[in-house]
Amino acid sequence: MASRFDQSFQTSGFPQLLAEFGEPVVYRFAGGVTRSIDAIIERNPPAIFDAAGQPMLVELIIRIYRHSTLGVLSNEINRGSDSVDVLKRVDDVATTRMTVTKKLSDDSGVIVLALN
Amino acid sequence: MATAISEQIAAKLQTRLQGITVAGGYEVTVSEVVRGTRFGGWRPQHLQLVINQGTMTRNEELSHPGNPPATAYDLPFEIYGLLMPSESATDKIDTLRNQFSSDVIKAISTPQASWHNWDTLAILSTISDVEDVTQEESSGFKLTLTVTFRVTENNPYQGRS
Repeated sequence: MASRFDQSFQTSGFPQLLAEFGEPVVYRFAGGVTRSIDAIIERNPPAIFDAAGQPMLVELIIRIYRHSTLGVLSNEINRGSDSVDVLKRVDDVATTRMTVTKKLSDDSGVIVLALN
Repeated sequence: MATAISEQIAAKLQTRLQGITVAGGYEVTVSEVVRGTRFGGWRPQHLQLVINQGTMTRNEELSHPGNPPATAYDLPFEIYGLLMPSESATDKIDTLRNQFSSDVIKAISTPQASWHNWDTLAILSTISDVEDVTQEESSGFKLTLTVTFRVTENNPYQGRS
């Protein structure tokens, strides 16, 4: 069962953070359906290491709202098949399509995804 | 602009791999064959091939004297096959890996009679192990191909028999 903090963060905390720091992205589901949502984007995060100690080429980490219209639900995510159109660099004119490769966490209404 | 023999071989390898299609008689259709940029420049996809070139080493045994002499090199290519089927897919991942890696070997070694010399650019080619590459976010394989070719000692743009 989610804690009171989790519930509060999900209903009011993260939506406020998203309003302040979020950027528009387009989430592309494997079947071709798209959804325009906001995401907090961490560009050039430190490399994540796999079980063998090899660095994975994680290029972006995004935080999105676990929501059926304002974000994406956990059970809608299809790692390896879904992609996100995102500005890879802040001043880019065009978006870059990146593959959702990993779900890093899913807590308090916030889903953290690694994109390559 | 001249194209180095090593680059010509790499380009031919990419072209052969791009021919992997069901319509062309293979079991799968490759989604993309990638040679990376400095920062990668590609995004992972199901049934994708990524070509990484390894260290080119001098092969003394197959070099020969002359004026100018001919120098032989062993050029390894690591070919990564990525498998990222849908999370709900029921296909056996080993079956996919077997099909995809077999198609890669078939594509590299076509045409059968002369695949190893890359249209006379090289003198020998060797396909090594198909290694399992399984990570949290993807599965797949790594296949190593070593191409041995000879060039004029002072001109790597000029192939030698």
